[in-house]
Amino acid sequence: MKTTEEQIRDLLTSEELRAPLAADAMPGIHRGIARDKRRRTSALVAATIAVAAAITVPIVVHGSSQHPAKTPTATRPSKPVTPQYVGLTRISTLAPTWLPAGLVETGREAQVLSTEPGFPAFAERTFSPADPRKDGGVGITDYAASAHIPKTGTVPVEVSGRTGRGWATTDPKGYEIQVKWKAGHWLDVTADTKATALRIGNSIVEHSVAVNVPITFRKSSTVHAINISGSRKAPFVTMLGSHLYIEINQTRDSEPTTRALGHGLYAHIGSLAGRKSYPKAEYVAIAESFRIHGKLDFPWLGKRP
Amino acid sequence: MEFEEFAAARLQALLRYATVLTADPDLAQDLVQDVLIRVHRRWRHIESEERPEQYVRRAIVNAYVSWRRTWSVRNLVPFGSPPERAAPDPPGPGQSELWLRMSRLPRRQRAAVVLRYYEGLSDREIAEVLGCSASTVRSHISKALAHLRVDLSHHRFQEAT
Repeated sequence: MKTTEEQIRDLLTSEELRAPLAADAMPGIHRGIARDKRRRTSALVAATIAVAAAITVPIVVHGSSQHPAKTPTATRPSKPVTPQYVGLTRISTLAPTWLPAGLVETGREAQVLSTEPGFPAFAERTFSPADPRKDGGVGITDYAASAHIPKTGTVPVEVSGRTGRGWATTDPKGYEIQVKWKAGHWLDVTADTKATALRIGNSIVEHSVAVNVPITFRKSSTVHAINISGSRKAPFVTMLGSHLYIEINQTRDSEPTTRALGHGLYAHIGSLAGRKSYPKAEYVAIAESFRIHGKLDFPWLGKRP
Repeated sequence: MEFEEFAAARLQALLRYATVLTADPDLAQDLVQDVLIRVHRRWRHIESEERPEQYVRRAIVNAYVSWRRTWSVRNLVPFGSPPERAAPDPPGPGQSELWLRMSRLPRRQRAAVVLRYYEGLSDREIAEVLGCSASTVRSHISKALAHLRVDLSHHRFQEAT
């Protein structure tokens, strides 16, 4: 009879057979790299514009420029349109009042629903150098529960009178702290050094900003996550559901699953590889049901909070 | 070596590795794609490492244990692409119980088991990959084996009765 260890070896070897094919995965990598390049190019253009604007526009007084974005409810028309799903929203309640010089807000991301035990819902704000050729950045996340704190290698940290954990990260190289801010809100800060992470952590105040896209569409799939990046002039939005993705960008095409949203933006809908998908007609129907409620604008992109 | 050459040559091996690690072909594909997209950004730096594939494998393990399903991760399929390939079924009946138990292990324990029994790494090497001490690695593997042994013996007992 085989030992447990031998059975494990056999199992792991047989597991190899279930691997996806490289031919299936490669196009996704190419698209991801292309998306990555577009985002970085957009950010570079935005940085150039920002530098030009800074010559004539007074610098925004720190902490006074950003108000919470309106939720979709606030912009919903008085008579709701047929589509039943109101755009995804999650509120980040923890905002920094100090950031290293040169960083601007370059992304917001939210997981509205927890999709796996141990991986709670969150809203994250990302701040990166205005010049995208420079390294370094900061992530500030408001988690619904404690998330992925390593079991070893952490040290106690003190943030605004609260005790949490801190640890060095390797990819990217830096430091991360996490502390329970209050019930249902765990603050997580990543930065290039411990000192920076702690200084940002100690600057946090309760101030709500929304991660949302004011768009509605036919309700036939649960959308659970959203990401906004790029620049104000060329935003790049992705929303993920269990069976679909919706990408909003400036790419125009003639697919029936693409819908013009105005202001040079287009919504593209598609299925996620390897997952259950709807018939194409359903995706077309969802695309046709897209409605924007309010201006599809992200004024915080490229600005300091 | 250019990134494209590396990806073309090693992608299938990385997908196999990630599938063994995660027991989930979809997640494996997500992880490998996400890691390679990030690697592409820093390829010049990574290429200069002595063993770039080892770097990528470490990144896959780290992405798995510290997971956040970030956005470059998902494999978005525009229409007009080739039809999706259905994921194969889990291993056969003889291994299904062990497979199920393995898939329920905490991620760090599973990663430690995979690195030991699939990759053949030592405690010290596993500790380096997971960013913990060798004693923690031993603890992970010991707990995982205890869990699997108990569950398997329980399963066999049930079968016998």
